[in-house]
Amino acid sequence: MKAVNKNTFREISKSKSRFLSILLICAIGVGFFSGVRATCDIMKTSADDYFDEHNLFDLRVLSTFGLTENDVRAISEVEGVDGVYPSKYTDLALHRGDEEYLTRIFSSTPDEINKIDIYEGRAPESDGECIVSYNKLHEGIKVGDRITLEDLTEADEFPLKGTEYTVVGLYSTPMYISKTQRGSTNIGDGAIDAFMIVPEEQFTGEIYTEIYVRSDKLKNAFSYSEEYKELRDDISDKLETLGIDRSEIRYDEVIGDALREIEDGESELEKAKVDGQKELDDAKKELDDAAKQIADGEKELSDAKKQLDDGAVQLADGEKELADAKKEIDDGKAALAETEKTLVDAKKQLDDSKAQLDAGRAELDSQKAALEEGKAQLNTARSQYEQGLAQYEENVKQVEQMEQAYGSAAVAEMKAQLEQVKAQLDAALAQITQNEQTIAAGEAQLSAAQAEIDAAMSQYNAGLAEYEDGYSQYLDGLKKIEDGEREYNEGVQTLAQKRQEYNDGVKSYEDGLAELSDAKKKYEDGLVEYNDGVAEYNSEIADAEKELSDAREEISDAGKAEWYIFTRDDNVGYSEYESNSERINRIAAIFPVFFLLVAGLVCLTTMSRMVEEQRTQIGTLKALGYSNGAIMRHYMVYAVSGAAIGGVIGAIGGCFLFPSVIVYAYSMMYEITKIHYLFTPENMIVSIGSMTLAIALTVFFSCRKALEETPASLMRPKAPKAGKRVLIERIPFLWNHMSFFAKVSGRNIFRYKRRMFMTVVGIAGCTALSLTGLGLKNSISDIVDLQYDEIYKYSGYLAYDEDIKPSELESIYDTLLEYEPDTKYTRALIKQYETEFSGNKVTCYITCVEDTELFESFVDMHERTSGKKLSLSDGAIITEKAAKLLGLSEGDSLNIKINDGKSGTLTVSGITEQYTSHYLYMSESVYKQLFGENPKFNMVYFDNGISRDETVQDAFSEHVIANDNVLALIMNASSLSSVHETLQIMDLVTVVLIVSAAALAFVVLYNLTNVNITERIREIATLKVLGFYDMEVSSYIFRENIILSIMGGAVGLALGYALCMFVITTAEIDEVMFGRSIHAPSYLWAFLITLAFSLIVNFIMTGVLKKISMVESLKSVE
Amino acid sequence: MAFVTLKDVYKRYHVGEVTINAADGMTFDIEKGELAVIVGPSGSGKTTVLNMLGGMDSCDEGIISVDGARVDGYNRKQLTLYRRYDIGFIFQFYNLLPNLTAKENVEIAAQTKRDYIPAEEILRKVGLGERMNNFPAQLSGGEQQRVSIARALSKKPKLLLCDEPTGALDYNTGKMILKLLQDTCRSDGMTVILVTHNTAITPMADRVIKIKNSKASEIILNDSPTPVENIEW
Repeated sequence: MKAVNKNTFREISKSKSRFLSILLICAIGVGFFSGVRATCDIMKTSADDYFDEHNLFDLRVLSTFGLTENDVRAISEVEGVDGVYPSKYTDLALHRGDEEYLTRIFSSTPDEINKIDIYEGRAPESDGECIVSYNKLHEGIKVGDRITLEDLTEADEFPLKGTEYTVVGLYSTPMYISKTQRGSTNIGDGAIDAFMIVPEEQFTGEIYTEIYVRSDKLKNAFSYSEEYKELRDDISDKLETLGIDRSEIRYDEVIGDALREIEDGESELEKAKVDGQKELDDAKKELDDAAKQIADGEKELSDAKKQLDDGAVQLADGEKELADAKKEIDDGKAALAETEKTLVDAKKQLDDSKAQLDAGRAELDSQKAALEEGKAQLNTARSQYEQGLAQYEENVKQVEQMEQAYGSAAVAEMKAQLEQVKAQLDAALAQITQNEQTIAAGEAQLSAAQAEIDAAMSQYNAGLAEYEDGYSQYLDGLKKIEDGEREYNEGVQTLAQKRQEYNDGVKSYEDGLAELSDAKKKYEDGLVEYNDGVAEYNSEIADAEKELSDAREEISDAGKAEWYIFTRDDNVGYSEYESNSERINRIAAIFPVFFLLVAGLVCLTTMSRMVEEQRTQIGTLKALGYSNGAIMRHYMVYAVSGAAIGGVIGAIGGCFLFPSVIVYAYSMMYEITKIHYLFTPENMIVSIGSMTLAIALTVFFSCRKALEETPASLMRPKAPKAGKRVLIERIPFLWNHMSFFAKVSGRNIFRYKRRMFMTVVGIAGCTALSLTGLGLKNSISDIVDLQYDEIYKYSGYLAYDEDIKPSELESIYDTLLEYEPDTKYTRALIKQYETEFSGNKVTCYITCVEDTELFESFVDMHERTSGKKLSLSDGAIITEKAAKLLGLSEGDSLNIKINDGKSGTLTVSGITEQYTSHYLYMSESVYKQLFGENPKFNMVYFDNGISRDETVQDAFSEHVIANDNVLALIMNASSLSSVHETLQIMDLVTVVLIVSAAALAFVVLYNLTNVNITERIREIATLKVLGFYDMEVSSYIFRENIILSIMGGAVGLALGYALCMFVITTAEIDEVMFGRSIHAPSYLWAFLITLAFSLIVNFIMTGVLKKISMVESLKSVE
Repeated sequence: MAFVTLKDVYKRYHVGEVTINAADGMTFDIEKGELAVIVGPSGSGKTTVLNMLGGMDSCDEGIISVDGARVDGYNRKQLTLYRRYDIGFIFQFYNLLPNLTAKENVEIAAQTKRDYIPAEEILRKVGLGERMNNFPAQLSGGEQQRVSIARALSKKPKLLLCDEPTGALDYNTGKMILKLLQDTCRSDGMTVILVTHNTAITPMADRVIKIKNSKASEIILNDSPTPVENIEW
């Protein structure tokens, strides 16, 4: 070995730390460069491996008319086609408990095509078994779950044999490598949530939905390569051509048959119509007759009824009459008996009276005789008395004459005697009067008795006459009674006869009635039958007519039979994965260059220092006659070997590390987990080569100046760089207020401009990387904060069946209001459609809102940069990321692919800030214009201001889900947490960036500080000799570091903003827009992180400073 | 006890398996206010002695005492303080901080002490009143050395240690510097220790310590030192 070479190797072993620092910075630089550069290819290759391993189809054929075995045969004959696999699928709603997932159900295919991976459980074997796609976002479904399927379309026939299946396994499919996106469907909200596989026999239909095509040539080609695309397009073109013929055949098959069937059906329908009508008419006539008969019968019966009722009244009257008569007869009899008795008594009384009368007459006669006698006596007495009186009166006249004559005395005696006579006369008169009275009384009595007897006699006579009358009357009565009795008996007999007659009448009436009601019932039955018949006839006819017209329409709708050839690119995730990997490539374009630059600068400083230190050696070698080239080779070998070794280490490490991290990060979104590491010569040569070349250049520049000098001047020590006044000294105000050490530091910084520049660049890089990392985190947390706090002001939305009844919808509202009476809500229609503008396609959720004003308070629609409020009353509003992907701006016309190849256009009136998913908001009127029909709302947006607390949310969900009309409930609070999950990828990126930042800061600062120290070792020693404390010595050096770190940090914050924005725009996934602002604390943190790294390096360097020996350093140059 | 005493001082360096005795039982005294010249050939150990005296190096064995303080037992921190407050050091190559002006180079030392001579005053004293705002690169060697002396003196050290102060200077300039040192010693009563390989200048010293094989071989006291102007070499 030549001495010069020996010198080089000894140099390396002597200055390990310097060599190592070159090696390390090159390793980091190359590692980044090669690693990030390789990632894109590694991602694609890993995907290609995955696709090959799983036999992913190359082409997929679908037909508007379905596909048959003949199609399968025809395709397999196409050149380049090596495998043809027919399959069926259908989109149904899968229910598990209260949850609903829109699911695409596939028939199972052999492992030779789209080989699935079963993560858990096993493949379905028997009826009622299925496997469900494994999906992180819907981890809910587990092996052993029972699920039910529901057809959301109005198809007559359920596409599967069963509706209930048991999940026996969970699988992933190469067809959909995206874990988050499942493609779209025409049912429900349009977004497929899950996939399911059942054995093919489970499908009821015979026709295949699609045919997978596989080609060996394509399998050998690299999936994302141009070669693949060309080969695939070849086959695809051939299939298109085949499709034209096959479609026609299929059209004739289906449409020809169908048309004939329709025509047959139509004529059959006509005949059926006539026959049916005739039958119905006959029935109608029969029924009418029956109705008339019934009416007659009814009338007859009612007459009979009336007669019967009259008869009943008559009977009752007769009975009553008879009863009266009987009573009368009885009464008469009793009266007659009494009369008889009275008559007998009266007769007896009369006879008694007669006897009494006779007796009374006799007595009266006797009394009459006696009285006559008394009268005679009295008359005698009276004549006597009158004689005595007449005497007396003569005596008195005498006595008075005498007395007149003779005086009274002489007459006294005679008077007394007269008196006596007179008394005697009075007494006799009294007696006579009394007797007379007695006789008068007797006479009166007698005449009274006579009258009495006469009266009694006349009475008697009258009684007798009466009696005789009574008796004759009695006899009459008796006769009458006897007549009555006879008459009565006759009546009784007649009545009994009449009753019998009546009862017979009633019975016949009742019979008639029963007969009538039977007839009536029969009639009604007949009527119902008739009406049913009519309804049936009508509906059957209508159905048949509708069926026929539907069929006709279907045929005209079906349009032409057409084949659709799909490539892998049309599958969700496949091309997205490609663009994601290319995104990494774009990042690869900037990061590694940066690291390469820093590595170059660090090497330049290091090598310049080395050359400077070895001036004497260079001089000596020159003096010895070595050529410049030979001397430079020493340094070249030194640095380039360091760069090369570092480069190899870095390239290998980088190609392992970066793809691993990135593929791992993407494995959260894609099924591809197995990494195919690639160490392509091209990548190795480019990355290691560019680094080595850069280092060689730095060596060249470092040596060139020294080599130009003469050996003598080289052997003299190089005068230290002269001090210079700096700009700041010209500002006395500032300069005079600076501390002495500040002045020194200030001057030192500007003394070594190159080092200053490099330190600033390195530190700025560190700050920029940290800020990018933190900024990415911010932008993600922004999604959460801005999206769910600033934009989404509502609480959640729920889905219901679009064909809901108003009362059921009302019940949903009630459920919401029950929980919180202040709930505000409005209906909306959400459905996924593909939109297109200037060749770019984005799948958007078209959201048509019922109450736009309320909805605007739910979703704060505004332009992001200007903050301008947007209103749905001005037109349709699209979300920002969708607009960006489409390249659309306000006022542009957007194409919307409505189903069946139709498409509509609408003018976008505003672009609103939005971070997750793509929406196209519109009012009902805009929707109507676009689709030509009224929206069928299927969602209710609501805001009830409930807290995001999990227990509160759970309670609310439970409350709402209890309503059977609610199909699904999506709360913002839960969406928010799922966004968190999806974006955890970025956490990893943040960590990678900060670690890189740390590595960069460390290497740069360590290296430069090291150079700084060796360069200024005499100064340091001098300070030590002057009795400076360790702290003072350190701060003398590190103050510069800190000032430079601060400067670098400031530059880095600006740089970091730009870098972060670049990374955000290149790295963000399509459905999500990251926040576009970095938060103030992140700037602070990035700055502090940088300072912290700088301080750590300073701390390590303090030890180095302490160890500097004054004696050694100040040794005079010999 | 003398102002400066070295007694049986040993200093050994280990280079690989070889041990070099840089001081091998060095013993001498220097009195306060003396101008002492330590003289000897290259590698005799004279700089080692100066370094040990200046607190830049420690001895392995023996006693070093300055103004009654035992420097040999000082730890790192005490040595720093010792250099800071007690010692003024002058180097052959001045060791000025290139990024500081003359004045600032003095200030940086002066400001380590509370009791110091203001930079401008001391610079004027060494004859650089006009050039104090110049950077070292703008000064000649002699001027630089004078800045270096001013820097050392500004701290009012107990001991002024000079390591070949004229080694990089031409004859006349060297003489001027030596004159400055002698004057400082005489007028300020500063104890000055000067290390040189040039025996010709020994007459200017109060005490000459000859070093040979890492030992003080001979100590000569000179009662009447020759003024520098009168010395020729």
